[in-house]
Amino acid sequence: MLARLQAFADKLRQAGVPISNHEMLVTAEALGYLDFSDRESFKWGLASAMCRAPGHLEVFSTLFDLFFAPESNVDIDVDLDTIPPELAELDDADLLETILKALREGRDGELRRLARAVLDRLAAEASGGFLLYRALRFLDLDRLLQRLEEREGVDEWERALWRMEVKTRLDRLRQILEQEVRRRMVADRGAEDVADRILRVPLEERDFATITSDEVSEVRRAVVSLARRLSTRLQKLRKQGARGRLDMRKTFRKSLGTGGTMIDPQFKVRSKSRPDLVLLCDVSGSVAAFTRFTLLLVACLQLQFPRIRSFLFIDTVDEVTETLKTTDPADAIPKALQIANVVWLDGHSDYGHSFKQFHDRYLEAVNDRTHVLVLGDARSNYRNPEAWVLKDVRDQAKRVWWLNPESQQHWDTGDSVMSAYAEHCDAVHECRNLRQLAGFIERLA
Amino acid sequence: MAGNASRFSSVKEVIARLRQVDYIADTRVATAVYLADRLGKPLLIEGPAGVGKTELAKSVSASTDLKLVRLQCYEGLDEARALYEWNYRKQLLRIQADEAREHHWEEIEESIFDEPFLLERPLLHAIRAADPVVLLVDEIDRTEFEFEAFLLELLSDFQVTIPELGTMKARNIPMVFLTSNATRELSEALKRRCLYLHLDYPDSEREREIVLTRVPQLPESIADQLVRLIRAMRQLELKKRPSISESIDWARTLVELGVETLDETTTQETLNVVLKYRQDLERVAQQLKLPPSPHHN
Repeated sequence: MLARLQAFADKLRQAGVPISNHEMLVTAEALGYLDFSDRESFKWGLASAMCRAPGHLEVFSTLFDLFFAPESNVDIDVDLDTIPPELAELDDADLLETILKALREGRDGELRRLARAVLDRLAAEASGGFLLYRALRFLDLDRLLQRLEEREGVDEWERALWRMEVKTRLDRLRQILEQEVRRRMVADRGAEDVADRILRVPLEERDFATITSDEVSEVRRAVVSLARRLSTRLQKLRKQGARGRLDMRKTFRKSLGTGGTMIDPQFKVRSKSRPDLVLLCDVSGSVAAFTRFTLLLVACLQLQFPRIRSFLFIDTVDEVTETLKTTDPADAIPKALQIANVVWLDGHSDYGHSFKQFHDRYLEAVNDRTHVLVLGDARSNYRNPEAWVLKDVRDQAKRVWWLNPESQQHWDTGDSVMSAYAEHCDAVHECRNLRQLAGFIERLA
Repeated sequence: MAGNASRFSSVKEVIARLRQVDYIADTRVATAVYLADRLGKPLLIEGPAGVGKTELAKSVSASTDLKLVRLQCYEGLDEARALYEWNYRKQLLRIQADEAREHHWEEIEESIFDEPFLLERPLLHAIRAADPVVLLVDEIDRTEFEFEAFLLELLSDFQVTIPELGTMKARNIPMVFLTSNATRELSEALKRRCLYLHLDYPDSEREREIVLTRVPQLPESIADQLVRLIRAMRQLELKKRPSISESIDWARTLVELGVETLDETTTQETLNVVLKYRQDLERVAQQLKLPPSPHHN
């Protein structure tokens, strides 16, 4: 058991759950009190000793199912190993109908049984991740969603409520499928091998370029919560730095309460200026995810940056400050992208023209207190970079920073003109994931 | 461990006894409580607001008949507010009174740093209590790092040091619960000393049970509908997602109003109990195709 636990802990560590020897000792101690026959309790008992954050729990759950897979199906209330022959005999269309019915009724055990039937059917042609892909294609979740939403014989109210619930059901089906595919993989190759394949890089370290559209809302939530944490931290730092010289007058006044003995020294409050920000964001396809999250992060930190002006560009530039200010940050960014007039010629990135436009129309936004933040990959499709604009901006601004979502080794390859611009920046940072982004913003504020 | 008579003999017992005080715990919650009790370790409970973190500590206290000692954290909380403080006004009085009688300074010093001049705050109270207690350190994420560091000695050894009086060891190991809304990252050192429980929104069956336990007058059919609605709302991107406390508030409101079915009209009239922001109300109303509000509140 301990050896199994050790292997399990090693994999957890690899997945970014920090488990020290201390945690292992606590876990071992906890084992003495846990009832192995109650799988659910065993699982969560281990989790309470090994995990320290909600993010850890997700990885924990996945790996636990791999390492401590039930020998029989005790955790699932229906007998799954025997898929009733009538299911195997149904043709594809009828199988889909049965699945639809199970989704409507929302019974977990039934869904799992059906998921297995689907996988059995496809197992001859595919395995592993490809099997999952084939199964998802077979089911066609988008179509299932449509079919589920149509419901006859219920009133408008019931239909509206149902529409809100349906997506959760489908998510559940997808989850069950993933679990079942993994279970098969474990049976084929063993737990540790499978663990290596499915471990995901933690969200904060994911390269912006690899974030799929499915994950966008997940990342967005992560950005908002990151902003909240950053904001509390920055406020505290600011407060600590705010204590200035001893204020004799206040100290005297306070000492009256203790008969003239000065036991509580008072200090002057020092105010620290907050930087004005001008954001200049490339929103073309290649870097869209990156700029969107950066905008969101900055917008959520309004307390830290009371004066932000935001400009978006592809091959020409437009200001979106007002849109971002008047709406909730999460809604604002898609809206800003919709409204902004950023295409002039052909919708391919043109840094030179955009910068020139910025110079003509908005240069007044930059003064000696402004930090200018350019977000983009500096890939200008071989057009004139017009780097002199950046020089002009820098002469007027306090600082000019550039954040590039590309790995540093790709700078200046192909149509990237990073170094032409870098000359006129105070610093250029590689910014490929949330962690790097948060680090930069924290230093800035 | 000395002074640690375990309060629970099994996970099942935790569930059963919490149920007696109307707290519906699942295996996951109960196992964490059980282990915390058995291992004599603090339990750190994290999760969104209103899912019953504080309530869990209170219910454990009620179900074990142990006194609850609560320390509500806030920014700027320091040792003097959390642990102990010398009552310096009383000390000054004592010095002035003694001056008249020409006592030696040593004598005075000895007398003014003694029990009668000690103001006991929650943490010291928990340590020195004659009977074991449940100590609840609520919203620990609101304090500063320094305060966390100061808690470490207390949490790992259940002892505190007062320079003038020496080290005091707990007579009984208290059951310690810390809650956090995760507004900031807690220090590794603190987390390591605790067992961890992430409380999230419950599944629909448990939520239904919780609502019916707390508001037994609520008809079951309404409870079903209410839980469906609440869960659907949680799927949306809202500023403040409704939590269990909102479900219960809603149930109470419906009972007060004597509502018999939860349909468009009744939902629309009572939705402001559940959602606290205008944007959230609008979004949900739009999703559910509710009729526009007839009156502004």
